[in-house]
Amino acid sequence: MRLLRHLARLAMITTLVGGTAALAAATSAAAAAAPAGPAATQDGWVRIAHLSPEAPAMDIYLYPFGSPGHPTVLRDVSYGNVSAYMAVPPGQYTVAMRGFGAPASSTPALDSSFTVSARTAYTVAALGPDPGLRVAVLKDQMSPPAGKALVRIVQASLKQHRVTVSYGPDILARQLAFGVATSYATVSPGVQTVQFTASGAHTAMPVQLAAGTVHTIVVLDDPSGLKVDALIDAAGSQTIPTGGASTGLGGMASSPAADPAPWLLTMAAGAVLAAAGFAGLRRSRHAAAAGRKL
Amino acid sequence: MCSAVLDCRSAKRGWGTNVSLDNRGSASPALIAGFGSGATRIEVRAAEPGGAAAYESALRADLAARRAAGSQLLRNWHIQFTAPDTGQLRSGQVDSRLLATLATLASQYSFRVATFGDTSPGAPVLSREVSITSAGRGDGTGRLAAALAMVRAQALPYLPAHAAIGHLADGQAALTIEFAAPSPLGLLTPVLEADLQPAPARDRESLVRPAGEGSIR
Repeated sequence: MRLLRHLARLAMITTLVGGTAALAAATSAAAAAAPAGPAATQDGWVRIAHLSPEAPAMDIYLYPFGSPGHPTVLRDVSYGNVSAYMAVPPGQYTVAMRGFGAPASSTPALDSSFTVSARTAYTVAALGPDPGLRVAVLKDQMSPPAGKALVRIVQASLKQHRVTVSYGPDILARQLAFGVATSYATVSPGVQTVQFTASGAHTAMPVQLAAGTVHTIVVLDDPSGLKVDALIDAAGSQTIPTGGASTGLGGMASSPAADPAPWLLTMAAGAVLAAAGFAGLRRSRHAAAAGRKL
Repeated sequence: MCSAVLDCRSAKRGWGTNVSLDNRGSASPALIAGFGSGATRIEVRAAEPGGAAAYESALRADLAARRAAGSQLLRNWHIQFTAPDTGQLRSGQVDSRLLATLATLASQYSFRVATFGDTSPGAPVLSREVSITSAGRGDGTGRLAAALAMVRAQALPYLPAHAAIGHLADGQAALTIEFAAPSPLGLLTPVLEADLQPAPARDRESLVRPAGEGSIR
């Protein structure tokens, strides 16, 4: 009889663990697929680019006007880094910066405020000298013409105030001033040499622009002169980013505030199953006790 | 950004030449302040490099952005508003620098907006001033002092012209923040559009449309 009770208990625990695991797997899968859900498709997309060679690494906070407890935070953004796109609800945000590792309770530097629209992607770029850092918000294009590539230029060099940028035989920008972003230009796909030309400075690097991709080429400084940074804004997506986009200087892991809903659901389901199992055990013990009395 | 011009045509002879006068009063409609009346009235108005049409267009866009941002701020559970303040926010009558500052302060503090106001004499302009009181339990004065330090640590355009802790008529400690006139336009919508330009030129002049470039300010 005792052996039977142990077997029944073991089967119940197995069911409990298995059920919880299955539910957890289901909810995790649902969470992973969240961007494709009806609610999430209304999100906008934001990435952060640190394009100021003189500024140290920083943490960047996006504070929604209507939801103070849920800032989007990107930590350890250092020069040349571009984050993956993060999904954020549409609305007005302030952009604030803190030194790398500074506590969230420390005084931030309020830099900008902008509106995130549904299903629209943005690059929030930190530019300029330090002090004097400023933030530019660029709306990103996600869908190039069929069979073509899109490319735009952002001039972020502090050493060269005017830079001419060409892609193969195409001149994309002439004498582009610091802090200026061009519109997107349509180019034929392929591998061409990107050249930056300024007074006394010249840099060239082959860059592949595949069909159906969208790029931002950033003019940056490095110790030997100018540096080409080719960012991918979109690749093969005709709508919105479906996750982190590749970035030219090594994508930086983002750390948006996690949605606790799936985990709460999992924990609640586990609690229900545990309660059911506990009740079942009590019933089996009562039945066994009643059997012994009889 | 706007600059300010004096519109005092009727009085400029009396002012001599040491004051820079601009007679484009009709092309710079935003009244910042007004002094006096009749023939001796002097008005200080905003000026926009693009002229009246550009200014009006920017003004309409900014009003829409302030209305939207103000309405979102009303949902912020760290800030309590009075009924008149609610109306001002919904109708876009609050300076965009104040809106952004309140949103940032609300990320760390809970507070109550006692009143919006402005200090421009004789001009019905945007509210560029706010007084807030601490809404949390405990050391409210300490929190106001921390909020004051945060406000004073900002750089332009978010650095206020004046910020100090004083007392309301009922004796309650309040932090007053005031931004300078004129209220800048476009602060809430600085996004550079991702428009397309014609195919790039090859070996010839003029490749980037000036109108397609976004000057990052």
